Amino acid sequence: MAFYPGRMVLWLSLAALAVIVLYPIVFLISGSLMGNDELASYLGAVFLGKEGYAEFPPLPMYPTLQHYVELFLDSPEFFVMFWNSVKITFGVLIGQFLVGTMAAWGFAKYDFPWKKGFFLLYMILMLLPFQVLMLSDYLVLDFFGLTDSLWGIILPGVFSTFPVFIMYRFFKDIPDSLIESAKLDGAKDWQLFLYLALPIGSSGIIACMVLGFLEYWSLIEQPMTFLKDKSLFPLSIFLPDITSVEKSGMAFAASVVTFLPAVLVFLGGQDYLEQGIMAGAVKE
Amino acid sequence: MRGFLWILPSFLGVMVFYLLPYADVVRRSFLGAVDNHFVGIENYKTVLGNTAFQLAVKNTFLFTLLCIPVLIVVALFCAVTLYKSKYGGIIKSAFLMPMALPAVSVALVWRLLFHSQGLLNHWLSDMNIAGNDWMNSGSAFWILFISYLWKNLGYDIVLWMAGLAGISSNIYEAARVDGAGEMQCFFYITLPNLKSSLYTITVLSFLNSFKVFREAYLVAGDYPHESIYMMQHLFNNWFRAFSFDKMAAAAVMESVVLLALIMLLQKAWDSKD
Amino acid sequence: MKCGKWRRVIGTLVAVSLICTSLAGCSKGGAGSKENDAQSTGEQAMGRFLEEEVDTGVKFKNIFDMKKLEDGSLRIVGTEEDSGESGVWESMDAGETWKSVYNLPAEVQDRGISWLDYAALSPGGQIVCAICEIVSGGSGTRPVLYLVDKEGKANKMSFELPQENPEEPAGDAEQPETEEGEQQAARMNYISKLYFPGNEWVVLQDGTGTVYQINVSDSSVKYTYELNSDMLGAPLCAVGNTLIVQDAAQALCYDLQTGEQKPSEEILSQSFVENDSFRAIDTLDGGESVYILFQGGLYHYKFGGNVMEHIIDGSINSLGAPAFFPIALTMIDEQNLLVAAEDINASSGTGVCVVKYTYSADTPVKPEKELKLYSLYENTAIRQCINRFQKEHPDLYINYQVALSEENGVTISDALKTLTTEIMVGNGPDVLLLDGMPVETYIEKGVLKDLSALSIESGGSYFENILNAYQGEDGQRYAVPARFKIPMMQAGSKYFSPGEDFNTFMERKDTMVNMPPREVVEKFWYTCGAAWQKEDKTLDQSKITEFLTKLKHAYGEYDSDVENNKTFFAFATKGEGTELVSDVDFSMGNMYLASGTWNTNFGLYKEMEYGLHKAVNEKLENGNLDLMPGQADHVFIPAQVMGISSKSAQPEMAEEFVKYLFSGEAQKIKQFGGFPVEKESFCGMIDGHQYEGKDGGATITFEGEIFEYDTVPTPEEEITKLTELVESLTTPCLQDDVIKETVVEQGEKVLKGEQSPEAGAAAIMQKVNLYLAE
Repeated sequence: MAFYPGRMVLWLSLAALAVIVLYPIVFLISGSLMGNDELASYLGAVFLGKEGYAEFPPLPMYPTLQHYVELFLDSPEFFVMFWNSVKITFGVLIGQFLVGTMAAWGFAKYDFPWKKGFFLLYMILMLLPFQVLMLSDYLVLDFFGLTDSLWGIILPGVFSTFPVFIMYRFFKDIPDSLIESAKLDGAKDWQLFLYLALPIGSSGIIACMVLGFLEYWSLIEQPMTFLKDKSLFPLSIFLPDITSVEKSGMAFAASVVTFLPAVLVFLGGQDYLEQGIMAGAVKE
Repeated sequence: MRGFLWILPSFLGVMVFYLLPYADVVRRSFLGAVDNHFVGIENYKTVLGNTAFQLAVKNTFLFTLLCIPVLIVVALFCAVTLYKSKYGGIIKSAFLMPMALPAVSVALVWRLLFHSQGLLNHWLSDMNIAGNDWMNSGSAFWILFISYLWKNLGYDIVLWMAGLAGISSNIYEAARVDGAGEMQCFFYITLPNLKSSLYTITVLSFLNSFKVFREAYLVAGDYPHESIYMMQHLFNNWFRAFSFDKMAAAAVMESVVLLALIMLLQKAWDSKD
Repeated sequence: MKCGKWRRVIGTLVAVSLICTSLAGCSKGGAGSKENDAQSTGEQAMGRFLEEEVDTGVKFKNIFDMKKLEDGSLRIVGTEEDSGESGVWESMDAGETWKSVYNLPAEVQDRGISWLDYAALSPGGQIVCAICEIVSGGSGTRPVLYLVDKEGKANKMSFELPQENPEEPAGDAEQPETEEGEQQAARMNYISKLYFPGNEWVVLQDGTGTVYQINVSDSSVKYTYELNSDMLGAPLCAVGNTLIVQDAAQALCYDLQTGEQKPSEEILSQSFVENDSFRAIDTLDGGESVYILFQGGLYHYKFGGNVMEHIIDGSINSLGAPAFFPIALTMIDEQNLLVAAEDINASSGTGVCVVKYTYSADTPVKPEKELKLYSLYENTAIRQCINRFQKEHPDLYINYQVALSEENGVTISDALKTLTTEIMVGNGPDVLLLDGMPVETYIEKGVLKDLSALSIESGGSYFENILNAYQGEDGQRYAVPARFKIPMMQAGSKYFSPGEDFNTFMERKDTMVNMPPREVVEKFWYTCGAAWQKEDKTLDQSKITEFLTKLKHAYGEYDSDVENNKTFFAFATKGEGTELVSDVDFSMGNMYLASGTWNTNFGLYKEMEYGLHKAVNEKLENGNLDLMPGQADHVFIPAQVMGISSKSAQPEMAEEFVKYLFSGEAQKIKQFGGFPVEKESFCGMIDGHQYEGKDGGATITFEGEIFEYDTVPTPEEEITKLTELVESLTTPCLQDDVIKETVVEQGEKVLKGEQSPEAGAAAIMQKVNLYLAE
């Protein structure tokens, strides 16, 4: 492609936009490395009602790991929350992998009465905001004795219809001719699923898992509504009262620690995510 | 029928955790709040006449109608620019980053940025521009708008790039041979070929537009500025005040609207195909 | 592309490791919860310790130590209230009856120039007394140790603490400025803890945190244990041959025989992390195993063991009560024990009590019945009441849930949402402490049960006007306040005259100089908000505009210095627990008014300190204390508002408990949450009887200025005056936190000059209308 000066400007503006987009993340990281005094002097206007404006340099003047130390050594509840998050997220993902792929495969490659209707139903349920079903959900969970238990968060997540919607598009892409030839070779239904659908759709499945991870790692409404026992709270609702300066450092550090696994999973899965989303979005 | 067996496990779960509660919501929409006596369509009437409901519906519509097209267009613009360029990958990763940031952390940053004594006003005052109490004025809507764009731009860029990848380069070459310029290539080849991606992108953007409530709620609480008072705020507040009658009626109406929207989209999609 | 590969590898590795660990975690969690289920559905387990307050027959003003001696008798070293003499009492029948053995010799009695600080009993019956002595010349104090033998002969011990200046422990900053406080500051090194674990040596900690182990025979130091000064406040106890120190995250154990640190005790450390500080320790087997008292109850631990046995659950008896501070734990045998404690509400009336716990094999481990009590905020008074009530009903456990605490960061809104779901599902609380909740909405939605049939009035004589704060048109009573606060104002006649209206007061200038705007708005919200609501429940915008305009006029220019002057005080009074005083309390302003920083003082009045008010009035020119002016007249603030859930499965029990809260016994419980609605308790709380027959004074120090006043009993006519004032109150304040928050937020901006009163009123209307429209 030819090189235009206009393209250069475009490029620079995009790069600038990227920097702006990244600013909040830099902000959190640098805040987590500042000592309480430094935070107080920068953010006093917001937290303490002092005069003037808050300010925030991109790098801390006196970097310290104090808040991380506090978080890891002095707050045992932080670990509990971390593990709760891990349990919820992976519980949901494993369940979605088992249940969701099968359903997506069913929708993509089989015909049965009312299929269109079912799929429409799945889509509507996917779009329904949590608040709509909040009370009734709670009643159902209570009926099964799942309230105040991590399972009460995990199970509804497992049966979320979003992954079905995403993975459906991947499985749909698998050429019918491939399936037919496998059938001619004597492959049974479950063999088709295990040896054909799963490997070919793997990028889509991983994409779905990455999206699922991001979603359930930062879950807020469900745990807040369904969990009462503080020892079951996930990390995503751990935000110390940041109206006091002493705690804001903790909040920054906790944010970074929460962000980190998400970023790792994200970077690991990014290529798949792209490939995956691609496959789903393209040929339809 | 064998196909149904594949979705059976999922469907059973959906039944229990989504359809059953939904049926309960429908039932409740015809009953009184705590005493559970039948009131017919009284709840629907009350809700439709409720000014808070009207405001929430207006805001939610406005937000969706404005945000989704803007997001889709901006993302397309970025995707076309970044596509096949050398450093596109890095910039794209940068755009994707906000997706991984938990809502609670976003809220923390927002609070510091948009506070009346916050960072944004600091920068503005350095440039001798009068600041604003961002979250407590009409600008709250635009902050929500920007945070939606910020969070979802990367996602939509990737979606569009995927669409771009699906267009065979042969078509472009053929067009070039015929003397088509870059602009012409974009309007006559790229755009028509991307139509097929539009549906998925719209549905996913729509889905994500609901999630922006988290940030709004975490930053501004139950009663934000009236310009960002969304359906979920209303649902939340009704819930707290034991107004399950109104809540259920509004929920049923919302799902009917969703159904209509999806049908409409699918129709548009089918006709274009 | 290379970096892409790495990203993938790292990401995948992390993801895989997380999956593996989470799988392990998940399965473990699942199994654990099943186990619990099995336990709870199992047979009713029997056997529980029952509590009973011991009538010692002695009016103890103070108990220093209590111990079971080698010969099986029990002894107490304490001070008798009336005579002021310290002595030793003995019980030969497991604590049933007590008789005096001897009075301590004159050397260790309080003598004006020296006083008894600590005393510890040995198993052999000897006593080590730590005396605090004023150094000649009065430049400070120094500790002196005496050994008192079993017959009561005292011998001075030659041990002296190194006289280095100890670092001020962090906790001292909170101590009120009393006479004792000053002396404490002046003395150099001091003893902070004293134990007499065996017969051979005494263990004491000094003001630097260092622990000395001293041979009784020759006063020589056997070992010293260097603990750093952070450990000064750390719980510490010597029992048998072990010195146990509770560090932040672990239990440190030292062998008193060798002076060496023992290998760490994992289980003990873990329980120290999980529980609060331990309060007392005792042993039955010479220190092989220990009984440890926490607020959560009594635990038993065998050194080197792998289990910490929970023997008594503190939540169902006094051990868990907020104002119960154990001094000494004495194990009589495995089924009987005594606890000496400070308890402001003890029936002895002296703030000190001895409580006995006896194992009862045929009482269920857990009370069969459970009553759920829900509150948004911690309320220590209700905890006291729960404790009392449970003591009278051993078959009942009151599960008191507090939704908001400093650590959990839950907002009111989230808490109320959770409450809603629970009530709807039927898991909700039986009794609700409604402070901070939308009471009107709950009444309207039928969440609360009508309490009019409860006939609360039979419990005594009540302020009916307060009780009926939420009375419906047909006499239904869905919510009843058990306490109340009054918005009061004190100022010189130049700034305020009693009975004047809002307009008159607001025309004056300089009434509110140096006051932070936020608190000013909130305080006036209480007396004005009640007048804003129109018939149709919407707010009257003209009233709000008037409110903001006049308030701004009177407040004048905003000076940002007032924010920086703001100081927060936590009052810690011995035996009463700590309660943070709220910003809008009247008492917060006393020192500002007394020092002249403020020209007026107003706020929520909830305790009477007659001597102080009198002295302040005298200092001001024609000072007055009366109802605070406002757009509404005769306003009061209902507090500790009680309600019963209409979905409660056990309404009778809930009613019994609520009724108890209005009984004289519960109403008399001292706390900071407001005046009692029961008249006799009300008078008892304001009459200053604790100052009866004593000459005393107190001081308030504020920015270097000292304000002194005499503590005197409240004269009869003042009691009558306040009682009549309470009887004249007619209007409960508008209790809606959503409206209040909005008003305070917008009002603060108006007072700071950031927006005009009209704009403020418009903003309030916009938000509140949205809220009311829902």
